[in-house]
Amino acid sequence: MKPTRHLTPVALLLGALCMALSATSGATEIAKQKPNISGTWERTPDDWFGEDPDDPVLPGGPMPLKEPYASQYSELKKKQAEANEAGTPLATTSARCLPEGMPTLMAALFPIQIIYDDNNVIVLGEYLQQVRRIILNEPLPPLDELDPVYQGHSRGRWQSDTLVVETRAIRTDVTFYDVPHSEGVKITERIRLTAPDHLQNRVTIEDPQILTKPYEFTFEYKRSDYRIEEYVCENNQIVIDSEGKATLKTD
Amino acid sequence: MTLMSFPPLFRQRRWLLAALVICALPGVVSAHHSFAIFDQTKTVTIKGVVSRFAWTNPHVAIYVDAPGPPEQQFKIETGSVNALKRTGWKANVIKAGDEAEVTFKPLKNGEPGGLLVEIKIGDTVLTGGG
Repeated sequence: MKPTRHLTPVALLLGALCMALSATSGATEIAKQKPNISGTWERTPDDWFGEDPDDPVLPGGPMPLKEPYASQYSELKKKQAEANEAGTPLATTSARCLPEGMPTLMAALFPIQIIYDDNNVIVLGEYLQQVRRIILNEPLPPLDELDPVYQGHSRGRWQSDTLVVETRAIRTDVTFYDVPHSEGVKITERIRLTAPDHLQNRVTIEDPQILTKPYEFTFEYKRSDYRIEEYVCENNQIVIDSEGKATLKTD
Repeated sequence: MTLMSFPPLFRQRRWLLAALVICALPGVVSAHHSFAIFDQTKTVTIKGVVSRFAWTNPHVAIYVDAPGPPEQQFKIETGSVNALKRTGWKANVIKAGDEAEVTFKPLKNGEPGGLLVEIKIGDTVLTGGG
Protein backbone atom coordinates (compact mmCIF):
# COMPACT_ATOMS: atom_id res chain seq x y z
CA MET A 1 0.00 0.00 0.00
CA LYS A 2 1.44 3.33 -1.02
CA PRO A 3 1.21 6.11 1.52
CA THR A 4 0.01 8.58 -1.07
CA ARG A 5 -3.24 6.75 -1.29
CA HIS A 6 -4.18 8.23 2.13
CA LEU A 7 -3.37 11.85 1.31
CA THR A 8 -6.90 13.06 1.10
CA PRO A 9 -7.73 16.77 0.98
CA VAL A 10 -8.64 16.57 4.69
CA ALA A 11 -5.24 15.10 5.51
CA LEU A 12 -3.52 17.77 3.49
CA LEU A 13 -5.48 20.42 5.35
CA LEU A 14 -4.49 18.88 8.70
CA GLY A 15 -0.86 18.78 7.59
CA ALA A 16 -0.91 22.43 6.68
CA LEU A 17 -2.52 23.23 10.01
CA CYS A 18 0.19 21.29 11.86
CA MET A 19 2.90 23.13 9.96
CA ALA A 20 1.31 26.45 10.83
CA LEU A 21 1.05 25.46 14.49
CA SER A 22 4.63 24.29 14.42
CA ALA A 23 5.75 27.65 13.00
CA THR A 24 3.80 29.46 15.71
CA SER A 25 5.35 27.24 18.33
CA GLY A 26 8.82 28.01 16.94
CA ALA A 27 8.16 31.72 17.15
CA THR A 28 7.03 31.27 20.73
CA GLU A 29 10.24 29.43 21.52
CA ILE A 30 12.25 32.25 20.02
CA ALA A 31 10.30 34.73 22.09
CA LYS A 32 11.04 32.65 25.17
CA GLN A 33 14.77 32.62 24.48
CA LYS A 34 16.74 34.42 27.11
CA PRO A 35 19.07 37.29 26.28
CA ASN A 36 22.43 35.99 25.14
CA ILE A 37 24.60 36.71 28.14
CA SER A 38 26.94 33.82 27.27
CA GLY A 39 30.45 34.83 26.42
CA THR A 40 33.53 36.51 27.78
CA TRP A 41 33.08 39.85 29.46
CA GLU A 42 35.50 42.58 30.51
CA ARG A 43 34.82 45.61 32.62
CA THR A 44 34.22 48.92 30.96
CA PRO A 45 35.15 51.76 30.81
CA ASP A 46 38.83 50.83 30.70
CA ASP A 47 39.76 53.20 33.53
CA TRP A 48 37.24 51.70 35.95
CA PHE A 49 39.97 50.65 38.36
CA GLY A 50 41.23 54.16 39.03
CA GLU A 51 44.79 55.46 38.86
CA ASP A 52 46.35 53.90 41.94
CA PRO A 53 46.16 50.11 42.26
CA ASP A 54 46.75 50.49 46.01
CA ASP A 55 43.83 52.87 46.31
CA PRO A 56 41.14 51.53 43.99
CA VAL A 57 37.91 53.38 43.35
CA LEU A 58 34.91 51.87 45.15
CA PRO A 59 32.17 51.26 42.59
CA GLY A 60 29.39 52.91 44.59
CA GLY A 61 31.40 55.49 46.50
CA PRO A 62 32.29 55.14 50.18
CA MET A 63 30.43 52.32 51.90
CA PRO A 64 27.97 53.42 54.62
CA LEU A 65 29.54 51.62 57.55
CA LYS A 66 28.13 51.41 61.04
CA GLU A 67 30.30 51.59 64.11
CA PRO A 68 32.58 49.98 65.08
CA TYR A 69 33.18 48.95 61.45
CA ALA A 70 33.68 52.50 60.22
CA SER A 71 36.41 53.10 62.82
CA GLN A 72 37.97 49.71 62.13
CA TYR A 73 38.03 50.48 58.40
CA SER A 74 39.70 53.85 59.02
CA GLU A 75 42.26 52.20 61.27
CA LEU A 76 42.93 49.54 58.62
CA LYS A 77 43.48 52.21 55.96
CA LYS A 78 45.92 53.98 58.27
CA LYS A 79 47.83 50.75 58.93
CA GLN A 80 47.85 49.96 55.21
CA ALA A 81 49.30 53.38 54.40
CA GLU A 82 52.05 52.95 57.00
CA ALA A 83 52.82 49.42 55.80
CA ASN A 84 52.87 50.57 52.18
CA GLU A 85 55.24 53.40 53.03
CA ALA A 86 57.57 50.88 54.69
CA GLY A 87 57.42 48.62 51.63
CA THR A 88 55.77 45.80 53.57
CA PRO A 89 52.10 46.02 52.55
CA LEU A 90 49.49 44.10 54.49
CA ALA A 91 48.80 40.84 52.71
CA THR A 92 45.38 40.33 51.19
CA THR A 93 43.70 36.99 50.58
CA SER A 94 44.81 37.31 46.96
CA ALA A 95 48.43 37.48 48.12
CA ARG A 96 47.78 34.02 49.58
CA CYS A 97 46.31 32.89 46.23
CA LEU A 98 42.87 32.45 47.80
CA PRO A 99 39.74 33.15 45.75
CA GLU A 100 38.43 36.71 45.59
CA GLY A 101 34.91 35.52 46.43
CA MET A 102 31.70 37.46 46.02
CA PRO A 103 31.09 40.10 44.90
CA THR A 104 34.73 40.81 43.93
CA LEU A 105 34.67 38.02 41.34
CA MET A 106 32.04 39.99 39.44
CA ALA A 107 34.27 43.07 39.49
CA ALA A 108 36.19 41.18 36.79
CA LEU A 109 39.68 42.47 37.35
CA PHE A 110 40.51 39.65 34.97
CA PRO A 111 37.90 38.65 32.36
CA ILE A 112 34.92 36.52 33.31
CA GLN A 113 33.02 34.04 31.16
CA ILE A 114 29.32 33.30 31.51
CA ILE A 115 27.81 30.00 30.36
CA TYR A 116 24.18 29.10 30.96
CA ASP A 117 21.37 26.69 30.26
CA ASP A 118 17.84 26.38 31.57
CA ASN A 119 18.96 25.32 35.04
CA ASN A 120 22.29 27.00 35.74
CA VAL A 121 24.33 30.09 35.06
CA ILE A 122 28.04 29.48 35.48
CA VAL A 123 30.51 32.33 35.92
CA LEU A 124 34.15 31.48 35.30
CA GLY A 125 36.73 33.96 36.50
CA GLU A 126 40.13 33.79 34.81
CA TYR A 127 41.89 35.06 37.91
CA LEU A 128 42.67 32.05 40.11
CA GLN A 129 40.28 29.93 38.01
CA GLN A 130 37.30 30.82 40.15
CA VAL A 131 33.93 29.19 39.49
CA ARG A 132 30.56 30.52 40.57
CA ARG A 133 27.38 28.51 40.12
CA ILE A 134 24.00 30.21 40.02
CA ILE A 135 21.14 27.70 40.24
CA LEU A 136 17.97 28.82 38.51
CA ASN A 137 14.32 28.62 39.46
CA GLU A 138 14.53 27.26 42.95
CA PRO A 139 14.53 29.07 46.29
CA LEU A 140 17.60 29.51 48.44
CA PRO A 141 17.60 27.13 51.39
CA PRO A 142 17.39 28.75 54.82
CA LEU A 143 20.63 30.51 55.74
CA ASP A 144 21.43 28.13 58.60
CA GLU A 145 21.42 25.22 56.14
CA LEU A 146 24.11 26.79 53.95
CA ASP A 147 27.81 26.35 54.58
CA PRO A 148 29.67 29.62 54.02
CA VAL A 149 31.82 29.49 50.87
CA TYR A 150 33.92 32.00 48.93
CA GLN A 151 31.39 32.67 46.16
CA GLY A 152 28.35 32.21 48.39
CA HIS A 153 25.27 30.23 47.38
CA SER A 154 23.36 31.80 44.51
CA ARG A 155 19.87 31.29 43.15
CA GLY A 156 18.59 33.09 40.10
CA ARG A 157 15.48 33.61 38.01
CA TRP A 158 14.73 35.41 34.81
CA GLN A 159 12.37 38.36 35.15
CA SER A 160 11.69 39.35 31.57
CA ASP A 161 15.09 40.32 30.16
CA THR A 162 16.82 40.48 33.55
CA LEU A 163 18.54 37.71 35.48
CA VAL A 164 17.89 38.38 39.15
CA VAL A 165 20.32 36.59 41.47
CA GLU A 166 20.36 36.38 45.23
CA THR A 167 23.53 35.28 46.99
CA ARG A 168 24.00 34.39 50.63
CA ALA A 169 26.37 32.48 52.92
CA ILE A 170 29.63 34.07 51.82
CA ARG A 171 32.60 33.28 54.06
CA THR A 172 33.19 36.11 56.51
CA ASP A 173 36.92 36.18 55.71
CA VAL A 174 35.99 37.39 52.21
CA THR A 175 36.10 41.17 52.00
CA PHE A 176 35.01 43.64 49.36
CA TYR A 177 37.47 46.52 48.97
CA ASP A 178 38.68 45.66 52.49
CA VAL A 179 35.18 45.98 53.91
CA PRO A 180 33.96 42.96 55.88
CA HIS A 181 30.46 41.52 55.90
CA SER A 182 28.39 39.64 58.42
CA GLU A 183 27.05 36.10 58.23
CA GLY A 184 23.70 37.59 57.27
CA VAL A 185 24.86 39.51 54.18
CA LYS A 186 22.64 39.30 51.11
CA ILE A 187 23.72 40.30 47.63
CA THR A 188 21.15 40.88 44.92
CA GLU A 189 22.22 41.25 41.32
CA ARG A 190 20.14 42.35 38.38
CA ILE A 191 21.99 41.30 35.24
CA ARG A 192 20.80 42.32 31.78
CA LEU A 193 22.02 43.16 28.33
CA THR A 194 21.71 46.85 27.57
CA ALA A 195 23.04 46.19 24.06
CA PRO A 196 24.06 42.97 22.31
CA ASP A 197 27.66 43.45 23.47
CA HIS A 198 27.10 45.34 26.70
CA LEU A 199 26.18 43.69 29.98
CA GLN A 200 25.04 45.51 33.09
CA ASN A 201 25.06 44.13 36.62
CA ARG A 202 23.24 46.26 39.20
CA VAL A 203 24.37 45.03 42.60
CA THR A 204 22.85 45.65 46.01
CA ILE A 205 24.57 44.55 49.21
CA GLU A 206 22.29 44.34 52.22
CA ASP A 207 23.97 43.83 55.56
CA PRO A 208 22.16 45.61 58.40
CA GLN A 209 24.79 44.54 60.92
CA ILE A 210 27.59 46.32 59.01
CA LEU A 211 25.89 48.90 56.78
CA THR A 212 23.60 51.81 57.68
CA LYS A 213 21.76 51.25 54.40
CA PRO A 214 22.04 48.95 51.37
CA TYR A 215 25.12 49.61 49.26
CA GLU A 216 24.33 49.86 45.56
CA PHE A 217 26.57 50.01 42.54
CA THR A 218 26.71 48.89 38.92
CA PHE A 219 29.32 46.85 37.08
CA GLU A 220 29.34 47.44 33.32
CA TYR A 221 30.94 44.90 30.98
CA LYS A 222 31.81 44.79 27.30
CA ARG A 223 31.74 41.58 25.29
CA SER A 224 35.20 40.29 24.42
CA ASP A 225 36.56 37.79 21.92
CA TYR A 226 39.29 36.85 24.41
CA ARG A 227 39.48 33.17 25.32
CA ILE A 228 39.99 32.71 29.01
CA GLU A 229 43.18 30.84 29.84
CA GLU A 230 44.41 28.64 32.65
CA TYR A 231 45.54 30.49 35.77
CA VAL A 232 47.22 28.37 38.42
CA CYS A 233 48.86 30.28 41.24
CA GLU A 234 51.75 27.84 41.34
CA ASN A 235 54.64 30.15 42.12
CA ASN A 236 53.56 32.51 44.87
CA GLN A 237 56.66 34.48 45.81
CA ILE A 238 55.09 36.48 48.61
CA VAL A 239 56.28 35.85 52.15
CA ILE A 240 53.85 36.88 54.87
CA ASP A 241 55.14 37.48 58.40
CA SER A 242 53.31 37.02 61.69
CA GLU A 243 51.92 40.58 61.46
CA GLY A 244 50.45 39.87 58.04
CA LYS A 245 53.02 42.00 56.23
CA ALA A 246 54.17 40.92 52.79
CA THR A 247 57.61 40.86 51.24
CA LEU A 248 58.89 39.37 48.00
CA LYS A 249 61.24 36.40 47.92
CA THR A 250 64.33 37.21 45.93
CA ASP A 251 65.95 33.78 45.73
CA MET B 1 79.50 38.11 25.76
CA THR B 2 78.33 41.57 24.74
CA LEU B 3 74.78 42.69 24.16
CA MET B 4 75.29 42.34 20.43
CA SER B 5 76.35 38.70 20.44
CA PHE B 6 73.03 36.89 20.63
CA PRO B 7 72.83 33.23 19.79
CA PRO B 8 71.38 32.48 16.33
CA LEU B 9 68.15 31.08 17.77
CA PHE B 10 67.36 34.37 19.39
CA ARG B 11 68.01 36.28 16.20
CA GLN B 12 65.47 34.06 14.47
CA ARG B 13 62.73 34.80 16.96
CA ARG B 14 63.60 38.43 17.46
CA TRP B 15 61.47 39.56 14.52
CA LEU B 16 58.43 38.34 16.35
CA LEU B 17 59.00 40.84 19.07
CA ALA B 18 60.77 43.75 17.47
CA ALA B 19 57.60 45.79 17.04
CA LEU B 20 56.23 45.07 20.48
CA VAL B 21 56.15 47.79 23.05
CA ILE B 22 54.05 46.31 25.77
CA CYS B 23 52.23 47.90 28.63
CA ALA B 24 50.53 45.67 31.20
CA LEU B 25 47.73 47.07 33.30
CA PRO B 26 48.86 48.19 36.75
CA GLY B 27 45.83 46.50 38.21
CA VAL B 28 47.06 43.18 36.94
CA VAL B 29 50.00 43.32 39.30
CA SER B 30 47.95 44.59 42.20
CA ALA B 31 45.47 41.74 41.75
CA HIS B 32 47.85 39.48 43.57
CA HIS B 33 49.93 41.78 45.73
CA SER B 34 50.46 45.44 46.41
CA PHE B 35 52.73 47.72 44.39
CA ALA B 36 53.96 49.15 47.68
CA ILE B 37 56.84 46.70 47.97
CA PHE B 38 58.46 48.62 45.10
CA ASP B 39 59.84 52.16 45.21
CA GLN B 40 57.94 53.88 42.43
CA THR B 41 60.05 57.03 42.80
CA LYS B 42 63.25 55.31 41.68
CA THR B 43 64.28 53.67 38.45
CA VAL B 44 67.33 51.41 38.19
CA THR B 45 68.95 49.99 35.07
CA ILE B 46 71.30 47.01 35.08
CA LYS B 47 73.01 44.90 32.44
CA GLY B 48 73.52 41.20 32.84
CA VAL B 49 72.72 37.69 31.74
CA VAL B 50 69.35 36.04 32.29
CA SER B 51 69.94 33.05 34.52
CA ARG B 52 66.29 31.98 34.81
CA PHE B 53 62.96 32.98 33.28
CA ALA B 54 60.01 31.87 35.39
CA TRP B 55 56.94 31.87 33.15
CA THR B 56 54.59 31.36 36.07
CA ASN B 57 51.56 32.75 37.84
CA PRO B 58 50.81 34.80 39.80
CA HIS B 59 53.81 36.65 38.39
CA VAL B 60 56.41 36.17 35.72
CA ALA B 61 59.94 36.64 37.06
CA ILE B 62 63.24 37.24 35.34
CA TYR B 63 66.44 36.43 37.23
CA VAL B 64 69.39 38.42 35.94
CA ASP B 65 73.02 37.95 36.97
CA ALA B 66 74.76 41.31 36.90
CA PRO B 67 78.56 41.41 37.02
CA GLY B 68 78.59 44.40 39.35
CA PRO B 69 80.57 45.12 41.34
CA PRO B 70 79.23 43.72 43.46
CA GLU B 71 78.21 40.68 41.45
CA GLN B 72 74.52 40.12 42.19
CA GLN B 73 71.49 38.24 41.01
CA PHE B 74 68.44 40.47 40.56
CA LYS B 75 64.91 39.15 40.62
CA ILE B 76 62.72 41.24 38.36
CA GLU B 77 59.00 40.68 38.66
CA THR B 78 56.31 41.57 36.16
CA GLY B 79 52.65 40.76 35.44
CA SER B 80 50.82 37.46 35.28
CA VAL B 81 51.25 34.99 32.44
CA ASN B 82 47.68 35.72 31.38
CA ALA B 83 48.09 39.47 31.21
CA LEU B 84 51.46 39.35 29.49
CA LYS B 85 50.29 36.82 26.89
CA ARG B 86 47.60 39.27 25.86
CA THR B 87 50.29 41.80 25.07
CA GLY B 88 52.45 39.44 23.04
CA TRP B 89 54.74 37.78 25.55
CA LYS B 90 55.28 34.02 25.24
CA ALA B 91 56.98 31.40 27.34
CA ASN B 92 60.01 31.58 25.07
CA VAL B 93 60.42 35.34 24.66
CA ILE B 94 63.28 35.29 27.15
CA LYS B 95 65.73 32.45 27.70
CA ALA B 96 68.46 31.68 30.15
CA GLY B 97 71.67 32.99 28.64
CA ASP B 98 70.10 36.02 27.02
CA GLU B 99 72.07 39.20 27.58
CA ALA B 100 69.75 41.91 28.75
CA GLU B 101 69.49 45.49 29.86
CA VAL B 102 66.77 45.70 32.47
CA THR B 103 65.08 48.78 33.87
CA PHE B 104 62.98 48.37 37.00
CA LYS B 105 61.48 49.98 40.07
CA PRO B 106 63.60 48.64 42.95
CA LEU B 107 62.36 46.87 46.05
CA LYS B 108 62.01 49.28 48.95
CA ASN B 109 63.82 46.90 51.28
CA GLY B 110 67.03 47.21 49.28
CA GLU B 111 67.12 43.58 48.19
CA PRO B 112 68.34 43.06 44.61
CA GLY B 113 65.11 43.03 42.69
CA GLY B 114 62.18 45.05 41.53
CA LEU B 115 59.23 45.58 39.24
CA LEU B 116 59.97 45.44 35.52
CA VAL B 117 59.69 48.64 33.56
CA GLU B 118 61.49 47.45 30.46
CA ILE B 119 63.84 44.73 29.30
CA LYS B 120 65.98 45.15 26.19
CA ILE B 121 67.48 42.13 24.51
CA GLY B 122 69.17 43.34 21.36
CA ASP B 123 66.61 45.40 19.48
CA THR B 124 63.75 43.74 21.27
CA VAL B 125 62.02 45.79 23.92
CA LEU B 126 59.48 44.26 26.29
CA THR B 127 57.68 46.21 28.95
CA GLY B 128 55.17 45.16 31.52
CA GLY B 129 53.99 45.23 35.03
CA GLY B 130 53.78 48.97 35.59
